[in-house]
Amino acid sequence: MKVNWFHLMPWRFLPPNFENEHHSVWVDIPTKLYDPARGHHLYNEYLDELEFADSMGLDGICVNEHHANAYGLMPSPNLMAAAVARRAPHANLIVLGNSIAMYNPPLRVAEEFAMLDLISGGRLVAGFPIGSSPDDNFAYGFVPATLRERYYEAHDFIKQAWSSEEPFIFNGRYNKVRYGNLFIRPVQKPHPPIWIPGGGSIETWDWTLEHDYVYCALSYLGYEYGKRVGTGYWERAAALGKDLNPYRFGYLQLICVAETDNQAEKDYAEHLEYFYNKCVHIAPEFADAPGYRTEATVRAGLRGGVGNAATAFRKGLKWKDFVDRNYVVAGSPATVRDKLTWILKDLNVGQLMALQQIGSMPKHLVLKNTELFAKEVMPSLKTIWTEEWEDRWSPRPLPQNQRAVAGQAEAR
Amino acid sequence: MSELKTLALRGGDFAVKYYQAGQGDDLVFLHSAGGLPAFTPELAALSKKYRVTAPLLPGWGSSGEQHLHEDVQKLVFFGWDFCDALAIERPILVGHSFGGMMAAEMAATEPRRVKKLVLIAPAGLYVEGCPMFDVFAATPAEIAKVAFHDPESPAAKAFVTPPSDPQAQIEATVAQIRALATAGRFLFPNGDRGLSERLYRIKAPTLLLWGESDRLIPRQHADVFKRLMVNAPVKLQTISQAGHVLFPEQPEAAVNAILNFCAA
Repeated sequence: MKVNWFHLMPWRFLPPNFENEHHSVWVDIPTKLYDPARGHHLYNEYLDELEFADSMGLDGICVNEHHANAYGLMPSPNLMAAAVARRAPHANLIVLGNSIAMYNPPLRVAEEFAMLDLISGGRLVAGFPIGSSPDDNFAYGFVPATLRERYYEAHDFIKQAWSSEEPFIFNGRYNKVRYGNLFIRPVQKPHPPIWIPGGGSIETWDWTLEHDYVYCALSYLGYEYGKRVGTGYWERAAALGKDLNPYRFGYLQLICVAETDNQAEKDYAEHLEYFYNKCVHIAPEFADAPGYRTEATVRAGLRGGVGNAATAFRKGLKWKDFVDRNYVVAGSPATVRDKLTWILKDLNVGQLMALQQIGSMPKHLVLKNTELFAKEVMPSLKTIWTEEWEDRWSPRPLPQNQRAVAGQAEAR
Repeated sequence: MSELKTLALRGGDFAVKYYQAGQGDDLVFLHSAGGLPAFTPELAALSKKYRVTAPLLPGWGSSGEQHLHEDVQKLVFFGWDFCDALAIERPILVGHSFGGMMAAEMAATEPRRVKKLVLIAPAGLYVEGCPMFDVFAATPAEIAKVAFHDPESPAAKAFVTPPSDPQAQIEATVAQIRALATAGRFLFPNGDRGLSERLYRIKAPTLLLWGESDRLIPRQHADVFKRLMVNAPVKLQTISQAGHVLFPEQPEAAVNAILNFCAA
């Protein structure tokens, strides 16, 4: 099992009655709720936390992209990965990812990811999400019905840029470049591993499997959502004749560890409630622009009776609900270890993404949560699957002794 | 009552369903993002005077919308290819909302092929200060509230009431998403694909027909259309007690306005 540490970087200072007074945490949130003086410290606090996770021996640190969003303050995750690359010298840099359909030309992503791979000595995971509807359609104005063809074209363009040994012409529908030429080459050959964070759309499972990428189920609904997506994904893997190597599958889980189960509730309940009541207070009309989901996915969703995920959060849930529904795995190290082991084996997960800064959680609790997890829970998780399966999807960095050390770097 | 007919365009990329009824000069009707659920009484009334041809556009009952990508020119070519396939040389073009935008684009591309142009609350412009309502971030109930003069009317109620049969409900939802997704190819996010820079090319005598209480595409858009159509005689007519969906609300007034204009 690879154990990675995910940061969403939420705004921790939404007003107490935010969810009743404001329309949505995403897309049309009033900018007056943001304060740059605090924002300066908050970014640095969060970068400290990512670096702490690196020092605790996590396999990777994960950042992601959102726009006009108060629970995800990273319009450019690449900047954050670059900011930690030198002070977090061990962990893989898992950028989950760049919404490649929106970069014009997508060559920009090939370049920046190559830069991150070079700075970090080959520790980059390149995440290619199609991007969420609030981000891509409503915040950035891309036409929903053509987003997927833009996405596939951008993917082909980036792959070609990474693999082509000489200048090439790219003549797509949406991108035309006469002299495609990525002079800087990524450290990893033929390119950094590609992971696809997905929202459960059926076509993406097949596409991911056919390209031999990792599929990442990222949600805030824990096991409930993971089971639905995991079941569908592994069924498609079997149908396509792929091995059921768990390292093909990434899964995000909210995790809260304290000395005891009771202490976990005392420490973290308030911050989880902030997260589920404020951070995911997403106006349903922004969740899913018409044309964003394919018709097949719409039908599957409707048949399964699955409503709009955004609305599920609007019910004033409490600590007990989050724990009982496995939205969060919380409690003493033993409790967390047992439950996580069960979930990860049941879902056949090889790439865990632990979300441990949640909602309004302040730094001292983030560090405590992370340290307890890293020391008391992670060691046993890391032994899962290592006997039976090989991880073919994690970075292959330069050997430690060949990597640049911050402060002492010199090219020869 | 007219039955649906079919024809294939561009080697089968588009399987087009359409209604055709009546005799006389050709009148081609292009529907709104709400689609065309039947050969409506209004079309029947027009067909007493004209040969009315009303396609279901790709995405609204005809297939092939993916071949349009988000390219207005492809939509225009679809429209004229459809006319060519039925040997419709120089029609009166009538379009409502999305169909109004399409009719205006067709007329701007082939100005000599349009005998008369009727634009009923057409989409296609971004007007500073009064953009079209964002139908892409709205529930059917919210759309009904801005589309109808009287959101409490039976027609408005029918618009938001889903079918009772569960399977029909799924199909209705899928159809609704598909319709808005297709409209979004040409209207997302601001309703503007550059039509304002092409309107000058239109030469056909044009009727701009608007519901007085249209809150989906505000009345101000009519003035901008009129101002930019510098090479066409344009008559602007508004209908009271009508919102964006003129026909169900004021069928007689709307049909008479079109018939009078076309006869003049």
